[in-house]
Amino acid sequence: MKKVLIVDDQPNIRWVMRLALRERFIISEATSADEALTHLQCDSPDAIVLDVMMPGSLNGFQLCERIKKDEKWAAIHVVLVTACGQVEEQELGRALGANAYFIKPFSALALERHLADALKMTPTASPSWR
Amino acid sequence: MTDLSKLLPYANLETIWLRCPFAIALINVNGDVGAVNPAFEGLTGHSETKLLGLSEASFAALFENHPHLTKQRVKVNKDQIRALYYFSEFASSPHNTLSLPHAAELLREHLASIYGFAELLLSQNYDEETRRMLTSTLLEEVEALSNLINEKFDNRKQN
Repeated sequence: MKKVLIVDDQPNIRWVMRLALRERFIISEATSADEALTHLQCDSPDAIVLDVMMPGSLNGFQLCERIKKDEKWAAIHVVLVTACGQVEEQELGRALGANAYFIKPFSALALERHLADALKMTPTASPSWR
Repeated sequence: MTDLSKLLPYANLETIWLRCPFAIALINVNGDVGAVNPAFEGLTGHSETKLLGLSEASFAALFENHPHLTKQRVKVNKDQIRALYYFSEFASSPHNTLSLPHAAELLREHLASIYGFAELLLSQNYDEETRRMLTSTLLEEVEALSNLINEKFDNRKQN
């Protein structure tokens, strides 16, 4: 099974995503971008579902940028999940190399379907923006 | 200072008094509560009939160390009015100090949980214990969302 790292400071959001994804993926969790970075040093997932606004020294955008600029992590499929619906933020996520962007509230089952498709897709496949 | 009574016809002042979202109480020349505006009861939970005729000292004591409201006294000493009190919401709740974009983000966070739990309950066959936990957490999220709406967007306090 593919590995997915869920990064969100809200426990209920993590719980929803864990329940939606656990049948098809191996799930690990982090409560901040800093914690996710520590996790990445030890284990590289196939995909990261990454909240944008989180407490700590890094936000989701910054972690996304670091992942996509680092050769050893650049292939990780990054899904940004955010409570901010501003178009500018979506553009920023796209510019930083995020593969998909979900705006809260979102369908966790749609996220599951997206990840299932994305982890099989070729590197040239189109990104998903919701 | 602008004298509103000269600038505005009485009818307009009455409209302001009736429709103002802030709680205002007038102290008459006898030193008693002479009137409170309609927003007063909604915001403070104290009815006009209970307050009318109350001495200013007793009235002020009611709102000492109030958890949500802060009061200001304005000396008037004009016509039949000695003073007025107006009340504003205290920033005791973190929601009161939120900017609108931040409040919108919090709304979306709660909605995301509610959406997620409802979707899972509808689509998955969980055991009874899991369903109970999910439903309970969903209701907690609804309550948190309701509190946020009440504190940030609705000036009328629930009694």
